[in-house]
Amino acid sequence: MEIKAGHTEPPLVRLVFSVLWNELKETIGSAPTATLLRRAIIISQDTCPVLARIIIEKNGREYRYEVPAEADLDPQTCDQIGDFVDTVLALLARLTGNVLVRQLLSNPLIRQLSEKEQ
Amino acid sequence: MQKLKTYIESLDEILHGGIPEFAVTVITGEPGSGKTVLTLQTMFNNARHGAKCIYFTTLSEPAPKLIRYTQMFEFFDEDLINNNFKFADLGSALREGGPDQAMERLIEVVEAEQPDIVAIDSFKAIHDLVPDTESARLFVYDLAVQLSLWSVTTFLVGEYTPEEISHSPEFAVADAIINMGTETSELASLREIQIKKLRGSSFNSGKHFFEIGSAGVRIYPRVGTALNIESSTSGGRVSSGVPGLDELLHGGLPSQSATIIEGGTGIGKTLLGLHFMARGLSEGEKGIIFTFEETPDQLKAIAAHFGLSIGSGTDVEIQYTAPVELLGAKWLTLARDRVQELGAKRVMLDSVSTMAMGVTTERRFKDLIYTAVKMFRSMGVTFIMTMEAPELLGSSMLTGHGISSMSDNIIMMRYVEVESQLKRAISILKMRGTSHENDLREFKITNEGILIGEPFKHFQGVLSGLPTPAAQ
Repeated sequence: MEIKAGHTEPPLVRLVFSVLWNELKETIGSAPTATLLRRAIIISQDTCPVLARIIIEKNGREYRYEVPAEADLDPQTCDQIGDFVDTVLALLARLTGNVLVRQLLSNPLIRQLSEKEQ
Repeated sequence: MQKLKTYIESLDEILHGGIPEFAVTVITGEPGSGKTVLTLQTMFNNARHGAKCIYFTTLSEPAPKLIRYTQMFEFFDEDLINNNFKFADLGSALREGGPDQAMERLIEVVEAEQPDIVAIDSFKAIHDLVPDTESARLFVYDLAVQLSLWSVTTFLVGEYTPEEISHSPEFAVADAIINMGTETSELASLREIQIKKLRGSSFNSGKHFFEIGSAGVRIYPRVGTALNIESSTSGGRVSSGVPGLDELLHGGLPSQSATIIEGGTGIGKTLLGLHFMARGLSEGEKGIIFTFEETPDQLKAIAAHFGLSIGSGTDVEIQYTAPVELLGAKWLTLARDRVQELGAKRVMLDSVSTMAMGVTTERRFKDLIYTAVKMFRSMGVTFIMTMEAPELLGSSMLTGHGISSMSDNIIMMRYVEVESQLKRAISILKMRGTSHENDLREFKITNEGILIGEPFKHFQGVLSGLPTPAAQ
């Protein structure tokens, strides 16, 4: 899928979040994934307010997330979601080095959204 | 991997630079072992360097008491409170909703404040409220994940029994484990600290002594572990301060070498050492005398009697330690610090025989001397040690305590009975890697100090102490 700036292709937020969650969960587990993405949301929510609507919570012994449908209707989201991806990558690099960053960038969607690829 | 310094000098040495950033460190030990002081000191030190720190109290030491006692330490800084350093309570959340509510409160504070360092004291109090091992493991894992992914370096403080250490999940999850305790030596109680685990980093293993004073925790790395000193070599010779002796030494003692001056009681070993120190002072070299026998006043009086200037105390410092109070690791650390601070180039130890009385085993004593020799050499210091010979006359035995091999040079001073007179002889027994004279010279102690005379040319068997006339 090719993502073009300024062109929203729903459901982008849900798709991006799903890719990040699943890629990370497979490698580092749900608890670290939940914490990392929550931290990235808190950092990015001022510039991308729609992120604040995402729910990440503990469900019994596991973690779950929920991206409300309206999150994908925000016209500015497409531009801003790239910043969120970069925040996730920067946090990962700071916390774990470049191994997981490279792994995430091997996903075409993440690679296209990330500034690091440019 | 970046490391978080504790800014507790010797602890950072033992940790080879500090604790890995974002690590979870368990600080454990018996009550009163200094866990809280060490943690607070580390956090205040880091807060002073700009790190944001939160100290969570639970259900151990009540926060008001903790705050009150912390102020008694020099590392406490009121200006940091509620800026870079905060106390926060987890006890109420624990009472109301147990560990899960405490976790929620902790995460809420961490997300809001985004600290660099967090301590939970006592974490054992939370652990004790978790109903079963399975839940405890999940709780500790989630806590470690939350804090490390918020880039927080965490200290979990608690009193754990050895059995709990082997079974509690916090020790499996922990990146570092620091154990603090005490060792009883006869009537004395010595504090000790041990790094038991440090993921992703080397460290100095074994037990290291420490003390708690008004400045907080002061650690003395175990004797034998590498002390963090940059090595330097300069070569050349330094004068012994005794002209005739310099001739025997072919110009003086090799710079940065270690020398044992061995001889019977009263023969002039200390005086020879004072010549060496006074000569250094006359050449603008600062020095330190570590004495276990004469007090500083006594040494100054001896030097003055022979017209030797060892300065006012700023140029040649005299450090007295009673052998009964000697703690090898502490002495070594203080010696290093004093030499560094003064910029000393000459060090005299008077005497190793008395020093040995204060060390519990011969093995520890050898370790101490070996480390001291290495340490002073790497600091660019020329080091002399006096040692008492067990015999008054002669020399059937070489240097005691088995430390002669550790020194580069050995100067032997002996009493000799000649024609019903007690005379003094001096010779160079050993100089590592360099030439020296083999003469056995007579020396006298005059009002100007040691005066080296002629060789005992007309006698043989001088080293036996009872020479006989040499055959013509």
